[in-house]
Amino acid sequence: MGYRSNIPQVISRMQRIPAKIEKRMIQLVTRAILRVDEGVHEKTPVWSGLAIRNMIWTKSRPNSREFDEIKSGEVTDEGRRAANAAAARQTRDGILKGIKPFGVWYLSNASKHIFELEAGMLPSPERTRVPSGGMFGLTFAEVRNSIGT
Amino acid sequence: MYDFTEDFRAMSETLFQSEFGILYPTIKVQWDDIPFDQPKDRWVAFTVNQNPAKQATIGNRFIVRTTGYIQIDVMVAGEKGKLVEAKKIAEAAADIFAYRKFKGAQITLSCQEKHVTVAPTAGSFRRVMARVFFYYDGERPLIPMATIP
Repeated sequence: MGYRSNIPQVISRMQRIPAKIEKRMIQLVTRAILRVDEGVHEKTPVWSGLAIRNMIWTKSRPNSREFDEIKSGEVTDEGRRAANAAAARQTRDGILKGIKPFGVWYLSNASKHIFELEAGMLPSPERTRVPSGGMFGLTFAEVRNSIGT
Repeated sequence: MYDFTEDFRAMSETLFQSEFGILYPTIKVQWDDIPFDQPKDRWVAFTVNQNPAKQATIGNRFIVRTTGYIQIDVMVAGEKGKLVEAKKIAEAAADIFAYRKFKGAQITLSCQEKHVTVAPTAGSFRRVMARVFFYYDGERPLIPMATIP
């Protein structure tokens, strides 16, 4: 009976670990970005389309430029949601393409009325369609918890 | 969905009342759905915002998990300089909960990070908003089945 070492196989397996960690991290980051995006969009009411148009995803630095809304569709009945949401989501799809596992990603909104909208003050506290707690606050609480566990 | 909103509200309000009362005994606190006479100089508003409860069953236990955040608004009258004092109060108020765990008769509360920022107001007061994110778990009591004779 001779002795056969399995060290080469062990080394080979260990060499694959970093790639597996990176793959797992990419999955986690992608899932978090998609959940944040979905949660914020579904809680944001649309009138002019300005708020939803300005849901901009960026890497490393938050966006501070305000984009004009796309005036396609009726202002009533959320008619402008589709065009403005699609334009905003191009930035999300952009950062998800070729995403690296470690980094900082921002969802920013530079529209001039976003603080008031989040606080449930628009068009007035009685008529607001934002859920009590705001689009960002409630989504953050939900996603923060799912990542934490 | 069985939820523990009222148990949580009672628990968090009691905790805040007892600890904030020691830190700032002269500042009045405005609670949700309770008539309040607005002071002329400063006050604090305490609110809770949460997502719908979700069932997180573990084995034969029925755990109901709820995510959300506690919001403490510090309102001060006067010039911009008053914001420094308001921020200090908001930080201290948020620290009552941030990163702490509390166990009550019905629920277990786990608090996460705090966010403290200057926020807009509709009136002449200045506002500093502190949010502490949380999740809490409650165990739904099992309903005993009828005994088969």
